[in-house]
Amino acid sequence: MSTKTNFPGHLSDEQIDDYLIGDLGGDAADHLEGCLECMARVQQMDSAISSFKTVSLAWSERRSATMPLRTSEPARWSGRRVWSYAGSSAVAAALVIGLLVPVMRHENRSDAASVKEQPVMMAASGAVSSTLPGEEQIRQDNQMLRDIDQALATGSETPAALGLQTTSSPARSHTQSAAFQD
Amino acid sequence: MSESVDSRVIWGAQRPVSFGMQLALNATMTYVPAAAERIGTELDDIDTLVRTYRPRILRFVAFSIGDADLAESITTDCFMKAYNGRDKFRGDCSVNTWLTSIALNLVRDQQRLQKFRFWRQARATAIDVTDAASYLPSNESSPEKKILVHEQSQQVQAALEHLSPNQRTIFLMRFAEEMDLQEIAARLNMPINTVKTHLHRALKSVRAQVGGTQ
Repeated sequence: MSTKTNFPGHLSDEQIDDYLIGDLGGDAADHLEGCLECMARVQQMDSAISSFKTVSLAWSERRSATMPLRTSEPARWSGRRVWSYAGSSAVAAALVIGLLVPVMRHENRSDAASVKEQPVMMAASGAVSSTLPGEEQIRQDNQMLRDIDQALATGSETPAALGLQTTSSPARSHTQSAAFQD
Repeated sequence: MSESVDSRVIWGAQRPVSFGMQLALNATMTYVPAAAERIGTELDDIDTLVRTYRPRILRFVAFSIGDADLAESITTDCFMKAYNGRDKFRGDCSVNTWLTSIALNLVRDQQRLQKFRFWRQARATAIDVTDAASYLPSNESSPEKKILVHEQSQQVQAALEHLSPNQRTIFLMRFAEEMDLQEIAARLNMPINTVKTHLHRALKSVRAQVGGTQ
């Protein structure tokens, strides 16, 4: 407790404050009980603090009543916090895009490269015909069948030449090969 | 008389009891939950917790940092933290003191953050108690009294603005939340004499505004 005295015969400001703080004892406390002047000084301060308490609580009660009861997410979306969340979201979105774009570009490049490499690989495995269009394939097959028929018809190794009996006429094989054209 | 008979009946047979004594006996025999149990139930009900304590916590935070919007956010965070950490409440202080301690930590975090901000939106959403004065309780009905209360409140608020964060917080803990010196010292992890010094400086500033001797 301070012993400094501004008022001869009365309590100092520090002692008044000690009383308000709840730390006044001894002779000073005894003096205060019997001194109207000191008590008035205490009450002046006490009254101001009480007024502040009353008004500030009235203010906060009113303000609290406008806040949502549930302390969940909606309460957070107020004032400048919205901007901080928006900023954070923008940064996060930019990061995601920054990471995804190179990955997607890499994938596209890989696809294009595999398409370019495919004919080479097919050529290496001897499957060139698989890359040709369908009609061209049929035309080549028919041509091959005609060549075979022709070779069989003109060659010396016919079934008749070999002494074998055939059950169908040669025209039949032509009919079969013609069916491929449909 | 069998063993299962109510003990009040046995006592009544042995010696007559007055109606008042009987009521007291009944009250004693009624199940009363322990303090910790009652507080535990209080903390489990988030709606009641918010409804009961939010105005005081909001006031503490708002007048500590001087920003109404930010105070709302911090108060909301405070109740979320309290509800999520309600198992840690040991019951060695009141619920209001415990909530104030949580709010205090959040306020200090905010003050540390503000210190390193290049841009400070000072008084962007400053507290306007002028409007609040019209919401005074009905017992303050006299117009003169209302004006006096309003003026005094503004003087104290003006004094708070000139205090350091520590002085302001300690002033609010002592005079708004009515915590005693030991409790404040314990919550702030600060020697009790330091707490007193901060309070003396705060009161000196208030006295200067109120118009007392200086």
